[in-house]
Parts: sequence; C-alpha cells; structure tokens
Amino acid sequence: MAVTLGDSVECGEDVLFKEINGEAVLLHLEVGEYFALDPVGTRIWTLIRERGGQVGAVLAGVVAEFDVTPDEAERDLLALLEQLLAAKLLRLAGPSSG
Amino acid sequence: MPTYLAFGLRIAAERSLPGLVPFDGEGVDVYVALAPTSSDHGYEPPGIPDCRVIREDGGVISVQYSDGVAFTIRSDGGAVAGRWSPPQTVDDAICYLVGPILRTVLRLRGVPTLHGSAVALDGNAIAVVGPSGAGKSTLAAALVKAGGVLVTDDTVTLARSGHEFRILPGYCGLRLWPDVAPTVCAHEQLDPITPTWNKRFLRVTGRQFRREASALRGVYVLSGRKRLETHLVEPLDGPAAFIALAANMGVTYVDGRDLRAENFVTLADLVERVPVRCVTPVDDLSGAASLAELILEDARRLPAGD
Repeated sequence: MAVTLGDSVECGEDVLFKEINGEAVLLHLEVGEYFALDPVGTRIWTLIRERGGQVGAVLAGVVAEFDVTPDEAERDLLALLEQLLAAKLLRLAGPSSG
Repeated sequence: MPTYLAFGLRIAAERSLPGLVPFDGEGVDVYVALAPTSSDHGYEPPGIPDCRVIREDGGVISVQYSDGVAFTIRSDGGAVAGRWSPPQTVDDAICYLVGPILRTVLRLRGVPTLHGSAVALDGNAIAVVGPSGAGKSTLAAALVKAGGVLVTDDTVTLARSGHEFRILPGYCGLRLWPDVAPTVCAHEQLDPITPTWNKRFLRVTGRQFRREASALRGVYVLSGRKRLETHLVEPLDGPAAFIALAANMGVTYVDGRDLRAENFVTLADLVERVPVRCVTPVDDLSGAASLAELILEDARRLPAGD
C-alpha cells in the first residue's frame, strides 16, 4: 500500500542513524545494510522525528525550507518514504491523528 | 611450540607460520592447531573459493572453504583448528589462517579490521584498502620501496587508544601477483606461497618493517575504476567515506546486532577523525611507483597523529 499524506511513519527500532557533514548514514541492524541520505533526505529524516512522523507535516516543513514547488516536494517526499519503507528503515505508524 | 606476535596477539602454533614475527615472550592469546584430513571434498570451483560460515553449538564458528580447507574457531577467539585435504596443502591452510581467520579471531576479541595493507611514514601509518584484485599489496610494496615502512599486509586493525586509531603490526611481508611484482621488487626476492596459488611472497624485514603500533593518519581507498592518463587521489567525505570503509571491513560474517552496532560507531568515529581519500589509478599498476609518490605527497600533508 502506497504511503499518503494522511499517514504517519516512524523510524524502525533496528535502525542506527549518524549525520556526517549534513548528510547521513543509516544501518539496519538486523539486515546489516547501510544506506546514505543526501542533505535533503537527511533533513526529511530529521523532520520525521521532529514532527511526530506525520507525513503531511513533514511535507509542510520541506516546502517551507527548500526552494521547491509543493507538487514536486510531495512527489519526491512520497517516493523517498516508499524507498525507506521498502528498506524497513521506516514503518507505517498508521493514519495521522492530526 | 613456536609462538608469534601479530596484531597484538600472541599466537602459539603447532607449525611454523611464515610471514608472522616470532615471539619469545610469555603468555599465549590464541592456540592454533593445523592437521591434514583424508576426506575428499569432491568439488573445487575455479577462481576465488567460496566460503561457508556456520555458528555451531556453544558459539564455535565453523568456516569452510570450497577448496576443502576448513577451520573451527572458539567463540572467544582463543583457539583455532584448521584442516585441509589434497590437493590443498598446509601452505593453503596457513594462507587462510594469517588472513581471514585471524581477522575473525580479532573480531571475536573486539578488534574490528579493514581488509588492506598499512605503511608507516614518520611513525604514523596510512592504510590502503579496496576490493580484491585492486592492487593493495602492490601499492603497499611500491610505498615501501619509496621509503615507507610496512606495518602489515592484508589485515589492518582498528585498535583504539583513547580517541586515536592504532594499527598493530602484523604480516611482515607482501603477497604479490607475479606479473606486477617486477614493478616493485626483484624476481629473486619472491618466494612461492602455496602450490595452488600464483601469488608470491615478498618478505619485508629489518628497517622496512615496523614492529610498533602506529597511529592511523589516513585511509586510501582504491576504487574499482581505472583512468586512462593520470592517477587521481581525491578527498572522500561523509557517507561516501563511511560506506567505502564499511565495504572494506573484515569478516562481517561473524557480526550479529551488537557487533554491527559497534562497527557503526567505529566507522562514524573513524570518518570524523581520520582523512579518507579515493584513489583511482591508471589502467594498471605498472604505474605503482608514480601512484606511490602521489600518495606519499598527499599523506605528508595530512595531520600527524600523536
């Protein structure tokens, strides 16, 4: 099922995160795979933690902080979240309460 | 029983272990038993042997290579038993022992490693890592020829001393392919290693081998790519450096959750404290001498360790 703006996501419990020079490395401890996030992806990961994982709120943060149209931001954000969900770095926490 | 000192380990073995430094002090950290077996494994694929790793009851680790050489390693890394069957020989078993098996022992004893070589300059060391066949040992030989001092081949320890990473002296020789060896040494300096492997052993002795631990000053990652005209040595930062080093960590097959988490912290610290470079050489390492000079020039500009 595709993630939507009405969903919430949360960081996987088996995931380690380290920010390095504005980018980040993630490790899934059970799978043993490493992932890299560019500066925008790193900021999105941080927004997820700051905004309770609510996808709509994360999108608002991206639009406010980056020079991007809302449509492009939504498309790119949802695509990134799908990748992170597929890699089990994130999991769906259910529909947003807000 | 002969005893050796390598990577900070006092190793007592039932047989002579070429390439390791003899030790006449007291105490033993690892006991090694090697014996032939008559069983016929019946299969030998070409190329690099596959490896199967099994965690057995009691935490013993069984490492089985498809060429018939096999090891069992006690869960605390305090004992290793190796066996081989024809056409492999004791030399093949020793080759695995001083490489991936000792890296496994080190990991079990809490010391992560990189798969690579290390050369000291003015008391500090640089590590050369990269995929198999990238030319790590050839480049290390060229660095020694250009004035560096060998610390180890094949296994680079990431031992800690406070905030500093230290490379412990290990294998006192270099294993070179015969076709590139003439670019870094004379033919008569090379000894065969095993009857079943073409690489040759270049023993490094005296002042060309460093017997003390060295602070890690920089890591040079040999990329799998080649250039047509000039060597390239360029900074590698952030996640790119982290993942390049993660790809060159030794024996991750023993890593469960806890060791993976430890590795993550170690690599994060390493990338923050030690400069990492990406090295893209010209098409073949017949240019090893010029690449070594380029790396030495870069390394001398790196901050020196304590």
